[in-house]
Amino acid sequence: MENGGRSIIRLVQAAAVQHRLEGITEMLRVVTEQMGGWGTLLWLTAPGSDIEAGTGRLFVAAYWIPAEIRVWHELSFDSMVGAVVRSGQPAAIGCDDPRVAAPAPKFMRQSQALYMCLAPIKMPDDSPGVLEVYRREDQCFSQADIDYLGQVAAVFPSLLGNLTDRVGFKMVDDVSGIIHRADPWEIGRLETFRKVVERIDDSFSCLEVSIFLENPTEAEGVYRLAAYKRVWEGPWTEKAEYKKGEGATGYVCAGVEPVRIVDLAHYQEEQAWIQHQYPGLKWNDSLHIRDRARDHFKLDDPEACPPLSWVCAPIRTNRTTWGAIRCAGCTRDPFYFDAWQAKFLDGVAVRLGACWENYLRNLSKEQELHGWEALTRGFHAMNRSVQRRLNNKTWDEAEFFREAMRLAHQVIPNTDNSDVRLVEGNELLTAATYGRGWDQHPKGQKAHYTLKPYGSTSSYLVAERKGVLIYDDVKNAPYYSPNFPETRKIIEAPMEDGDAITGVLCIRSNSPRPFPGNVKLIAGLLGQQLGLYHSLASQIRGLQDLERKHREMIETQGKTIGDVHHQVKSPIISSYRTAQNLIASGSFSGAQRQELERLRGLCSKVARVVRNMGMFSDLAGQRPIRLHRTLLLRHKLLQMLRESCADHEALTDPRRNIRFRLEEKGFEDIAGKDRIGKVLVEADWPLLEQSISNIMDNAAKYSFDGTVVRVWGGVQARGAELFIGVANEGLEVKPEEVPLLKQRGYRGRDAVAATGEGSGIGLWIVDEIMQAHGGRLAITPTQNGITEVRLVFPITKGVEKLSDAQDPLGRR
Amino acid sequence: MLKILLVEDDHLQCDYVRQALTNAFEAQVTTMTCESEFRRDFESIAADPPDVAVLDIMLRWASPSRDANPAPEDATPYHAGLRCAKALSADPRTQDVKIVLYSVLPKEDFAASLLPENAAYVVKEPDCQNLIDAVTDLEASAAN
Repeated sequence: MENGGRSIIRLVQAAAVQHRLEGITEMLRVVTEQMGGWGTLLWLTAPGSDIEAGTGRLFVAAYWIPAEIRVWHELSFDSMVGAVVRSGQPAAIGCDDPRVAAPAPKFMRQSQALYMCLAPIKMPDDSPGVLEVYRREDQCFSQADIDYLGQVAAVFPSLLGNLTDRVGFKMVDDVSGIIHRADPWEIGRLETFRKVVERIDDSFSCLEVSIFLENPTEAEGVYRLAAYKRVWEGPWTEKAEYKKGEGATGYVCAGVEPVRIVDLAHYQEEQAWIQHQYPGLKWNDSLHIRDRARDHFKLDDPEACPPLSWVCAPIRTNRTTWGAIRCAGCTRDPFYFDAWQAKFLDGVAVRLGACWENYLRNLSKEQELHGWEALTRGFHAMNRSVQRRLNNKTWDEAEFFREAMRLAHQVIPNTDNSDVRLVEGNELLTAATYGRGWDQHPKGQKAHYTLKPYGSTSSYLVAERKGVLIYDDVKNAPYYSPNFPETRKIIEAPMEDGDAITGVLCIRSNSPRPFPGNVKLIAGLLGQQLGLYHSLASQIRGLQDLERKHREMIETQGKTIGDVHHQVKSPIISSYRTAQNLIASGSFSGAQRQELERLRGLCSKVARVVRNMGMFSDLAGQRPIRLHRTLLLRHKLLQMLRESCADHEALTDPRRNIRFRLEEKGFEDIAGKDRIGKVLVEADWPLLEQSISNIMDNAAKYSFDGTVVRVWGGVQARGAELFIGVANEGLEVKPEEVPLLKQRGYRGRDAVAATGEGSGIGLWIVDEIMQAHGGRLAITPTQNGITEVRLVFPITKGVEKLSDAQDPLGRR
Repeated sequence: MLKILLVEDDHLQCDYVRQALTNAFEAQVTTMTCESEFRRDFESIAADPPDVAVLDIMLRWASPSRDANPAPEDATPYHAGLRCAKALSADPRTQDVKIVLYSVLPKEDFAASLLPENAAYVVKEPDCQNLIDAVTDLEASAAN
């Protein structure tokens, strides 16, 4: 294809080696050279222009001239360029031809061109335009020139389209590579998006490339700036977020199609066409974009301004639009984004959408996993805390509930406030609250909701025995009783105790985002856990009440028994003394004296039983035994033992023929009145008397008929201890039975059969008394038919130690 | 002469009650002190049954003894007197014996099902007047 020595091949070859969009400049240079011209311009019809009607405008999309002249002019269809577009025929005329628009554009004056040759062209995106070649030499363009330019205009769009494809496919391919190589950490930190922005800018050379993304953890429908590349600083590019539908970017985020505006500076004039293409799109040139662009490009020619082309594609998948990627203002030839570039940008946006959705899906799974982990750890910590508080008996059930709600807020995203309601009769009462906004809503902290009729969604849940209820829109929640006007979603989880529902955990969220998929399980588990705590707390509260009542009862009983003891004590002592005085008077003998001794014995027995009751009450009520120690004097001890022996013998059925024999010899070492050189023992006298009486009573009851009970004593353990022993021949005590005999309420089977009375507390009381003395109750199992029980006292080392001291072992 | 069987394991009370009944009715009072003695001598009781049996409810099985047989499993002291009453009611030879249950415990402490239908129940008091009244009533009802 040759024309006057010129070949289209030269243009094709030049186009073939271009790898960047600005390669169009080189293609225009070749055309200029082939045409013997001074420079070449590519005029395009602005979108919305009506060629037939001659309305609209033409703008310079690209040019090559050998001078530092900015050729960013516009023409109406009244111009020669407009005439060529309308006629569809190439033409060549002189620059002074009247058909050339007057005044001529500034660059024409600056170029000093004399002739121009024009050929209509149809761009790859079907935009009509004109190739215009200028010539300075005074030689008008020939028909051959016109024909050649016509041929160039025929192939130029294909060559440019081919170049755009190469650049576009390479860009999409590179972006795919960036995404493919990115790890989740890189995506999460938006590094990947920054790389993509860089790559797009490398191909499209923009004033600004930005990516906006919706963050799933924040409010829905808000798209924040995630990555950007800017050469044009200013307020326009500082806007960091768009709401769905807000401005041109928000418009794209709300839809699924890319938007391309050829020149923002002509937004107002071309608004009809833009609205036709993108219904509902609203954009306001509040920043006077044309002036700002002129400032940026340092243009002093008032007529010149490059087209402020804008293209934006939604970052999306089939289901969702996640954000948008936008390019604004080309900084090189061609000075606008054509439809093909918009399609390539859309390709990138689709890949970014898949990448982001995949990342969010993985993130959601990861968060779900972390949620379960947090829940498990939370349960563990809560259980420990509950255990600790229950052990300390300082627990407050509301605190357990708050712990559980705190955990719920931790593991369920976008929760704002919650409360726990407990079933009380026909009502649900708020037991604890957690989260934001309760300060401004004090009534809600102590709210009542009737169960029937349903006073709230919780009431409905309890009355209808529902499981976990989740409403992503509270308007759908039955019988919903709003606490907070801003609440948008609620979760209601039953607190269960066995088959019963004892309360409801109510969690609220102000976020429009739906709850995550695992929320039903989590809320269910939390509800169960709360039900468990509530049940546990109720049971413990019941036990504590019982314990308190029991303690009060014991105290009352103890007091009553104590009162009885004091009331009985005086008449018993008086009776005892009366009997004793009558015996001592010697006025009675024979059967009368025996009756008196029986009477004294009975008084003694009653006194002992009543004292036992008092001590039982004290010990059962965990009141310590308080000792009032005095020095144990030999003659007084022997007197007491003699009387005790006599009393027990007197009370024993004479037909059983059981005798008590006191062996006094062993007691000689015990201090008498002089105390010198003798063993000193401190004891609480009434308690000692009671102990001796208890063990003698056992001996009387369990001895075989016709036997002798031996009462003796002395020093043992190399002088460290004093013992008072009662040895008898009777029911066998086996070695394994010895510890049992000291237990409260224990009675051996043979012992029960041998005596109808008795409660098994006698030896237990003696053991406690002896321990309070720092001594012990020693029971020797039956050997050779003899069983011995000893009261063992520690010997006091010196007189100076005599005191009403407390238990030396610190026991009660 | 009224024949009374008194089963009471406290020897002091036994003596006192025996004396009171003897004085009140010029009765012939036979005493026993434990359940094993009652069971052992039941045949002789049946052979010559008393008119009235005064039974303490809580009785030991037997005094400790080298020769004593172990107590039967069911021989707990708490219902020993009731078992004695049941034995008397169950035997045709003694079923007409008037029974007085005599205890320190109130009647309400025992399940109604445990108490024989026709037995009188008397709570032990310091004097024996209520016991004497109960025996008098039984005698009067028998005479009618």
